[in-house]
Amino acid sequence: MMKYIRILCFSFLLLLIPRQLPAQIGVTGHVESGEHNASEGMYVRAGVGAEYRLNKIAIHGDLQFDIISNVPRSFSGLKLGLSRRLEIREFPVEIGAFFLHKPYSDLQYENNWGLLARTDHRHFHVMLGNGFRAYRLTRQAVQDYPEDAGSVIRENWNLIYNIGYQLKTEEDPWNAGVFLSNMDRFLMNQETNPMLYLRGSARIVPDLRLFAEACYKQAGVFNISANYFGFFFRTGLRWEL
Amino acid sequence: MKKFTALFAVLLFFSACDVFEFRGFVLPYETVDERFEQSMAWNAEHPYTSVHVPQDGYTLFVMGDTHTGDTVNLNLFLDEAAETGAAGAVMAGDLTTGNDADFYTFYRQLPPEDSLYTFPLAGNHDLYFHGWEQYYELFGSSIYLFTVHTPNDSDLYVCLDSGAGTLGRKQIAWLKTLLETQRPAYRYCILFSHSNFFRIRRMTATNPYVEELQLLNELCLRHEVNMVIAGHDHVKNTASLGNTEFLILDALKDGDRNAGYLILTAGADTFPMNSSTCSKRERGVIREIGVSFFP
Repeated sequence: MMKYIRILCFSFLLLLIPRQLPAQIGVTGHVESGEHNASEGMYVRAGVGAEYRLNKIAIHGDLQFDIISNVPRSFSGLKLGLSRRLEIREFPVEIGAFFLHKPYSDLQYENNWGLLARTDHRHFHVMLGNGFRAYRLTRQAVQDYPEDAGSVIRENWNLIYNIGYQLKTEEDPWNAGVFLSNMDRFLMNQETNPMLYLRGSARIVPDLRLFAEACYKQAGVFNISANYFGFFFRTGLRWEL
Repeated sequence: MKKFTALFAVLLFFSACDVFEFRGFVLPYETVDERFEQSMAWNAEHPYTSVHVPQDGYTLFVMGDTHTGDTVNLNLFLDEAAETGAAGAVMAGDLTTGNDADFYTFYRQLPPEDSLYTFPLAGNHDLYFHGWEQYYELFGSSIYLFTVHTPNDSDLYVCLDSGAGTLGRKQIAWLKTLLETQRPAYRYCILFSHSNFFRIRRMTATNPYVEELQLLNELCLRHEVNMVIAGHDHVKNTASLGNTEFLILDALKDGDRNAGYLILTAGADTFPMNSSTCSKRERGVIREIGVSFFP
């Protein structure tokens, strides 16, 4: 039943896409290295993504692979998203939905989904949304632990935010900015665990942009005795075809 | 200018607050790894407690978030635990507000060890105002284990320091080794933490990072941890993932409308944990929650 509902939804979404306008395709690749209290040493990950934008609608998909980590499998993340640009009283807003699958172990995985609204106003960037998380057992875990009492824990209505300021605008050949967010490419954190980002990008040749970011994670900010949790560096390329 | 003056006045007011400590919200006095080192030094000189009970069944009293000051509910908890011959009383953090006087007030209520074993944990409030110094002086280690031995079985209880919103890399490594090497020798294994792992309901309380929870979840499943019991959120809740039941306690704080504590009953049977076995009784100002986890 769910399968048919998904096909119906997808078909409906396809109908929304105007067919006579030129499409834009963006491809992104990145590598990330960092460590945190639960990583048991440094980790290295790589990610690839593609975005297909037609007029005001965009579909994107991303994959993440662990190269060096304490996760027992290399495939470690899948993200799918759909967004649409709107103008509300001449105020540009992009609304969207995402699904994030995180197989962090042989025995368990995480499924997240959420709704987002984003606006950019020259130097300022604001994204707000709500996310829903489910920690689940894999089939292997259900087989290995047949007396299990529960196979899912849900965390609903998690506030998602990404607020930032950039020195330049998106059209400039380079840009740099500072961001505060609880959402990363393949991670939806709790709202009480914000991450601080420094981001920069530069256009190397027309249509090809190099980006880099550093992220600092502090655990327990706001109502705990806060401590260092971790950091990572990420760099990559975005190619607009 | 008026807005800045008002903001400054608000900050000045809260800087004199003796309940919330704003420095602790962003910067620690000491790291969880430093507390781990001190706790291990303490453990090296003070062997872990082994409680021996003469029968197969026993009870363990568990509470969190007393936030002393006041001690009416705390004394009800300790009195009943001692009167009913509980194997021990676990106190899952935020025992005080972090102020010196509250630590001594709390400490004075504790019964002598020959009448009741007590097992305190450090919560985030206990670490405010440089509270760790008092905690360490009065209670010692914040990361340790204790065992309960019946004529036929032994159970393992692990007390964690999660007052920093993370267990820290050293404590995580310690816990992992402990579960790998010692868990198989015990019948039941229960972890106590101040910070609740999951946001089972909408809350403002801070939890460990998702990446840390992923590792802890996997450890709990792989090593068949029966239960993780926490406070912090002040509202009781349960959820289960695999063979692990995650419990959040009501706060025991005086004046809290739902003040309560947990009575764990360990029996000789295998582990059919079911949160529907919860029962509630009313007594005076405090609502007790009797839970038979091991019927």
